[in-house]
Amino acid sequence: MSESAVTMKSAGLVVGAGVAGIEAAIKLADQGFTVYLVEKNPSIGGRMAQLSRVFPELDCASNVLTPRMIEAGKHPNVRMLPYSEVKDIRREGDIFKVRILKKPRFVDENRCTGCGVCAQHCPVEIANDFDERIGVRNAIYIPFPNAVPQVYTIDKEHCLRCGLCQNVCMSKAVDFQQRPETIEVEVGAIIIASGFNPFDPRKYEEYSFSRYDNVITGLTLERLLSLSGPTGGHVLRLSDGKIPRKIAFIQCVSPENPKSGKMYCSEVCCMYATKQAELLKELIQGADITIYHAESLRSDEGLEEYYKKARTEYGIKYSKAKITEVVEKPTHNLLIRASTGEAGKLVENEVDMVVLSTGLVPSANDFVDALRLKLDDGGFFEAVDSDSISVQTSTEGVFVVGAAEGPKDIAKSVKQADAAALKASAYLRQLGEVKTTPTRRP
Amino acid sequence: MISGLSEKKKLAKKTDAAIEAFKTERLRWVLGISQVGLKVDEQKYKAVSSKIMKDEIDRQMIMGEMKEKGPRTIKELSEATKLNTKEVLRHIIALRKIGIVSEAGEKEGGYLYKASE
Repeated sequence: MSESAVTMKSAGLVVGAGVAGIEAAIKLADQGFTVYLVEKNPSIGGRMAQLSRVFPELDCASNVLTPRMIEAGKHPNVRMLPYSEVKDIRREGDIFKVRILKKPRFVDENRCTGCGVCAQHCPVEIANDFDERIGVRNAIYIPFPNAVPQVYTIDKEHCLRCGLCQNVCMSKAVDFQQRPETIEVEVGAIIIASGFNPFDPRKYEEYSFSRYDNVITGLTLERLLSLSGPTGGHVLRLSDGKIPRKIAFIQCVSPENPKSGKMYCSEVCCMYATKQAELLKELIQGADITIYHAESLRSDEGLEEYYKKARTEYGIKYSKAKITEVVEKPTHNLLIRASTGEAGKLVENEVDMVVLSTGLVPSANDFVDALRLKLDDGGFFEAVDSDSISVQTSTEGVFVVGAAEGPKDIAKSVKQADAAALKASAYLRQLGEVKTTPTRRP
Repeated sequence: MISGLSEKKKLAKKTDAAIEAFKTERLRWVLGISQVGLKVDEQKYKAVSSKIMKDEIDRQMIMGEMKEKGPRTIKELSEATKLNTKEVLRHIIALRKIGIVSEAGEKEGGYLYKASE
């Protein structure tokens, strides 16, 4: 048997290392397969790493995620490829030939100890995307304290090449000569876990996002609520640092489905807005919170109880209303105009802060053609099997998990990841048996 | 006369902040860079150096205010330094990150911040 055949039948590729990708990689690696876990960002962890506490038990997101990130990093069968991108996938028989670009960090991964002295000396300071640009970082940085790997990265765009970091690094890890590196691997199965991006709310001008500082997205609120976030979990207004007492959530800030003319349901906004409202109630004394929803609230199993608890125990108000306008007053307070009920009665409410519950849009649709995959109306990868947890794409050997398959919560993403790892391992085993026979397609 | 005096006082404060700022590594680096002769990207350097200088002086004013008067809110710091509240908040977040500013309770609907050196 040729060496590539051995590699092929015993290896899998996971694209994207958020909570679903990490879970799928660990579970597949546990079965004895080599797993290449490719992540485009400097650290694994994905969107979940940005969250404060998670629905429904209000567990600390990093308490749940960080141990899994570390496990993936240490797993003997997981080849972690952070700060890397899959550039090309070609199918040859049962094998997928994958070309991965490892982007230069300008920091030697093997030498960097993550001590952070470099960043302390870096004179450049810019907005940190990981903190939804509320926090700051240097040109040499780790995106967040619990990042895996604990390796710094130089942001070439903002670096001045002053060399201060190089001078202070005890491990001599800074390497301005680093070049992009191409890695070619052969795998038998692929699990796509490329996740989501939050919907850009600027599309709906009536919400005045990016016009006013105190109109923020749900993800920005997560960074404000996070204990390791830029404000240490102190929620404040970005215009003036005032503690917001009166807060309005606007639901269904999602793209419109051209077929139905309605918003795509993000599947998670009702839950995360309620969760955030509860956290705000606990944090801010006398907080007055209204959740405005134009569509009916989701009514999956258990959710009615959850809303009831939010209403009665926390005093959170829900109002079925369509927001028509958000206007800022000289005090930086926001005046919300909404139409309610069938009669379309107009109401006004002046609040300190508006939170837009933005929906989920796909983060990537690469390799649709190369892998002959199907996308659904919303642009997410389609799973075609009729199992209760569907993860099989229209191409044999290719599976899709988490929000890459469609908007969903963390628990469902993890369930899909477990199912995909199981299916991928069964597929790889069967492939291995096929491979031992001399019949090999050209 | 009184306003003249307070103007002088403000100027003195700003001068003190500038002196403190010039002691910081960031500013020493900005000023010293041409002499050291490192191969710095000239254009990027020009774009960021004036921002770094202004930031450092503003931060020293903010730090000076908190050291002199104790915990202050963003609003109070804004009034004392004549920087707008959004700017002050940006500086507080940056100073908080390097561990020299921390929260110290609440006052009049805002968080209080103190110098924690």
